[in-house]
Amino acid sequence: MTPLLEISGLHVEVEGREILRGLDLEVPLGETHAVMGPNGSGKSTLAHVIAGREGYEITGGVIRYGGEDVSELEPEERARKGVFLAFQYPVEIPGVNNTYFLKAAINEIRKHRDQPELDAVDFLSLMRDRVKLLDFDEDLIRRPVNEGFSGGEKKRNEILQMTVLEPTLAVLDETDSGLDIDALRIVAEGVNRMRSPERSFLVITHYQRLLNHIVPDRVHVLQDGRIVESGGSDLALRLEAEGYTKAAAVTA
Amino acid sequence: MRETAAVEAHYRDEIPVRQGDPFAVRRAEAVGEFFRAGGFPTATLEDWRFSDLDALGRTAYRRYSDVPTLVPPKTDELPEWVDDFGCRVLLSEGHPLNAEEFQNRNGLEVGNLPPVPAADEQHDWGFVAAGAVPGGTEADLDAPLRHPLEILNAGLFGCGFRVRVGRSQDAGPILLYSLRHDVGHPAMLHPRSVIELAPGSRLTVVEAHDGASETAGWTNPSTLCRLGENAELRYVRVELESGNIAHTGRVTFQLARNARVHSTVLSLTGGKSRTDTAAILSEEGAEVDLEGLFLGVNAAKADQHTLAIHAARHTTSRQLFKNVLSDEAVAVFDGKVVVAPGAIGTDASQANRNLLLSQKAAVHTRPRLEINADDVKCAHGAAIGRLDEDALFYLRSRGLGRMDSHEILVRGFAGEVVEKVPVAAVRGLARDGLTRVRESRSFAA
Repeated sequence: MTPLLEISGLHVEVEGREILRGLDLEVPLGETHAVMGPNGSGKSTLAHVIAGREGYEITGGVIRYGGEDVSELEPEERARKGVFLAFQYPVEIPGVNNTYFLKAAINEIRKHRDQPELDAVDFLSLMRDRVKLLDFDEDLIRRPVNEGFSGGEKKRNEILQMTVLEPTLAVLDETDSGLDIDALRIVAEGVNRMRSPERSFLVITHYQRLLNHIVPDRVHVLQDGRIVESGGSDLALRLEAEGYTKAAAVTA
Repeated sequence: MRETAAVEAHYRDEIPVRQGDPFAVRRAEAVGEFFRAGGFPTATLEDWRFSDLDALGRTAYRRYSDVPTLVPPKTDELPEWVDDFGCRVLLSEGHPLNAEEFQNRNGLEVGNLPPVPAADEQHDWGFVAAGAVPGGTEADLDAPLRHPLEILNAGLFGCGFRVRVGRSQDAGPILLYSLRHDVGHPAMLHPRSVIELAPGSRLTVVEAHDGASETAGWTNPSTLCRLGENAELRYVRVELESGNIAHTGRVTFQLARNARVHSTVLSLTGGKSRTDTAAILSEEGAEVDLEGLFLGVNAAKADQHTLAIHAARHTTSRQLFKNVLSDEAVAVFDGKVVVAPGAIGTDASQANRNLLLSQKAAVHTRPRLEINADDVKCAHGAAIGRLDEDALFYLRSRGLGRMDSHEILVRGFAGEVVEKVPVAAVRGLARDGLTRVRESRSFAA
């Protein structure tokens, strides 16, 4: 069966600098994979290029999603096909109400799936349900997007958006950074509850800590813009114990 | 020199002559004073650098009442949003359309100006002591009324609105609406409005200037709002004129003890406008919010001048002016705060934020503070920027289209001013303006 996400020989330049240098990665539908790597290895670039960020130039290779080459698609086209990126640094958007924004987003996605748009009542009851599951402060959803949110609230808002938009592929970019242990548990529970045979996760992280809560099917080590090693969830523990340098040395 | 004399003679001829007008002589003096002080301000003057008013002096505008072909418009050609107001006074080409309707109801007087003013109302009609600006130690409380175009308005006004709210009354929203048409002739309008709030009263009022003209036109309205103790005014000004109508308007607020004003100037003009908003905080505890929003498309230009005079202790002024500029639109913000000697405990802030959607749009911003007292808090800041790429990507990564994402961010930016406008019909006009921004040539280009 074709993997949901299939990246082969991917080279990406950002502002003239090559960040990804021949990256290969496959994530089958229904699986959760982790990508671990030291700072500067290209983790965030990988997350952004999957989501379609402008300014990330693909100079070689291809990204296939559901068997289709999506390398040239706009970010919104990928989102409508079910790709979701939980940002490492969620953006504050003054003057734009969280609820309004999320309702516009879900209806855009539903339109693409030929589903009827949600009206205000249906949407609010959906929101209320998800807010409760994530132990999210209900006042926050009435505020402008991420404005004045604490670091932990922003990350939780990302997961809230994910649970509302119900993507097929969710890329979590260092979602654990800046979270205390309670928030980490809530976020992880939110993710675990969504794991299903119809959905895949790509969990990008620097630390193994998150993977105690979201246990991945596979772990990949990203270094110098390439996947240098792949293995089961125990690979994360070994990396934690030995550090990235040694792990890389073993592979080399 | 002879040219200037000819222009002055032209405007002297335009002074409306009305039997029994106690100010007939003062009007002639006002026009004379305007020309003695230099006539139409030119861009060589610091205060008029970006205002482009030279052209006004080169056009022989005439009052509407002299245009023989004038046919007063029917009420049914008014825009739909006007119907949202139960209480409204309408002018067309300066002619009252419904003058008698709202006189004296429950302590509220709303109507057109009387054709002949009363002799003891000279201050209301703009006749203040000329010249003699005090030398820096005292605040000049009549400074806004010495504005050259205010003086010319005092000489030439022939129409306008009057609103009086009785003690402890709560009134509004009231619409003061002036509409003009193309009469095939360069026509000018000098409306004057006086809004008076008795102590403890509250009022929401919308002053709107509307109309389009291919032929050159000029609207030069003056509005004076006087608030008694503890009175509260929510004032909204909407500039909708388009085509070749130049707009030079002023609104002046005079606040007594603990009076409060929230003012919003919405420039939705398609032409060129200059608006001077002034607040005189002459007694303790007075508080004013001056806000503005310009939504500029094509070659529209809005020039916002503000002046907050803190002349008493513990007075507060907050200014927030925002510009959204597409195509070749140009915005000017010149904001001034004056703190008089002894006005301790003054709290003044000023912010001018600009969103440029096009390479060709431009902003000139200049904050000015004159602080002559200790123990005051004055903050000011200006920002000019484009839409945030990170925010655009964030929205698009959630499935929202490129155009929609741009629009959401622009609406969010404008929302800070629009959402505080206390009248739904006017918020609707602002949203229409935002739609024109979205449809503009440079949008998301």
